[in-house]
Amino acid sequence: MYETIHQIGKGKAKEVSYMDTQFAEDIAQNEPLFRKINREARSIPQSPYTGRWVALLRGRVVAIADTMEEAVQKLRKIEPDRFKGLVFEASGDYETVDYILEVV
Amino acid sequence: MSRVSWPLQNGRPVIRLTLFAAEGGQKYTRTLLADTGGGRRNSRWDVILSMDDCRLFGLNQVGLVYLGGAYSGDFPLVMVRAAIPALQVTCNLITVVIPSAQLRPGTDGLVGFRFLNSFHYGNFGNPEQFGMEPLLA
Repeated sequence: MYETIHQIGKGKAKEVSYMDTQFAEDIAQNEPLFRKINREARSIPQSPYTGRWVALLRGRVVAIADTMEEAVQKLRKIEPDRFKGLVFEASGDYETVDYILEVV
Repeated sequence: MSRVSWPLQNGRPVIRLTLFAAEGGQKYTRTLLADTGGGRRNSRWDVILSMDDCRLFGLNQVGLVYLGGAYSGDFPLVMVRAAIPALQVTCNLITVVIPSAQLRPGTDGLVGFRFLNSFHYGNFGNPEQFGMEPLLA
């Protein structure tokens, strides 16, 4: 059910092995641009993405909005499938590692 | 002030969330480990659920998160609609999606520190339970 995909992320090849094929394919399409926009928005205050919400679909920007709800609404007008596309806060911290203590 | 408490499960604190199916809005209850060591106050996520549940409850994909420790790697984030009826709380939760096979038996997932920290939480004088109250305004 789950298959391994290899992606280029954070500058090195990385193994992601926990998503079903449909989900993984969608992520693989959107992740490079997601990382690029996130880095730009966090480092360039004049970027058009800074402080805004961005919707990606099949590796392309399809909406920029001031709120998540607005970005989702614009995305869903183009692609009604709720598993397709990615909406994210362009300036958000998606790089810091969050630790989960051992779950026994 | 309203308060809700749940008995410990195998000696561990848990909370019970009502989750709403993305299609049709049916309500389901899930028991999640209350893990104050899960993430940070400023984490981008509230709970961890299985891929199967995220298919049922997931509304939109809202990013990726990098986890370390018990769950390690890049994981997708999805939005789910949730409620704690006894507290009259309904909210959208950002959820980490993990493979269903990685969930430990007896639990439906995990609720992290960011969500717990938006309430008063603890045993409220009874060491056999874990409870939550809304924060004072």
